Amino acid sequence: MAGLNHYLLLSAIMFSMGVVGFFLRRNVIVILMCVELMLNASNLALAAFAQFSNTIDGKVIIFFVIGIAAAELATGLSIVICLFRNRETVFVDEMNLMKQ
Amino acid sequence: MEGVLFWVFGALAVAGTLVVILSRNPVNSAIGLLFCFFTTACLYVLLDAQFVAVIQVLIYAGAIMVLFLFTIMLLNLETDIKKEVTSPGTRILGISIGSGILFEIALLLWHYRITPFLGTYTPEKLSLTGNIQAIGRSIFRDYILPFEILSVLLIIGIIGAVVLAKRD
Repeated sequence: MAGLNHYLLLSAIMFSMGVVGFFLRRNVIVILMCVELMLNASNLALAAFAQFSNTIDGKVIIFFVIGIAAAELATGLSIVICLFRNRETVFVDEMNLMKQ
Repeated sequence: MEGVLFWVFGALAVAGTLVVILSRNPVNSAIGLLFCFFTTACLYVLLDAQFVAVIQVLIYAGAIMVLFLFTIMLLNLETDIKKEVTSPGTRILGISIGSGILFEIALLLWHYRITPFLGTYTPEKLSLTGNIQAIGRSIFRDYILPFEILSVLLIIGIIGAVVLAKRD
């Protein structure tokens, strides 16, 4: 029988793998995917807390997190399309116009 | 049985996450992400959150994955596999930060047994009134203001996406 700590540990593993991927990749689309992975891991922790504390609030907050993730992603990906149109690249360390 | 299913789905979710962060091809990363979202939906079913699982499949595995795949195919990326990974310094920094976060949480979970304050929504009561009913009542009674703010945020997101991606 899996307890609260098992779910929290699984969520922590997925979150930290999202962090590692965020630093590992140069492609901005994959970086956005890693942000989604982190949000997904936190959702899992919320659902586990809601289940093991006999409350419903965690399961409601997941909806808000999913909605915010959708809004963030729509805006983020359109920024990526905009950047690709102007700079012809999707690699984050080539997007350094502000530095020059 | 539930314990076995937890380990199976947990291992599959971690495998999907590994595919996302290690695969050199963005399309393969997107497929790994889809797999990870599906196994997370299965874990939600184990946690008695059936409606959340349905929403996860509909929005994450449906809408968000379509957005990702459309963007990848729209940008017509050159397949220069070698350029996908950052420099060794950034890689070491990222791996140490990630394992640091994991180590801290694991240490906390190992030494401190979390005993949450128990609410009134016991599994028996939820199976009596239904999960969706309870969630809907909570959204439209306790969380009505965040719900309205979220709908405004989504409209702003849609308008922003259209304005940014418009070809002028």
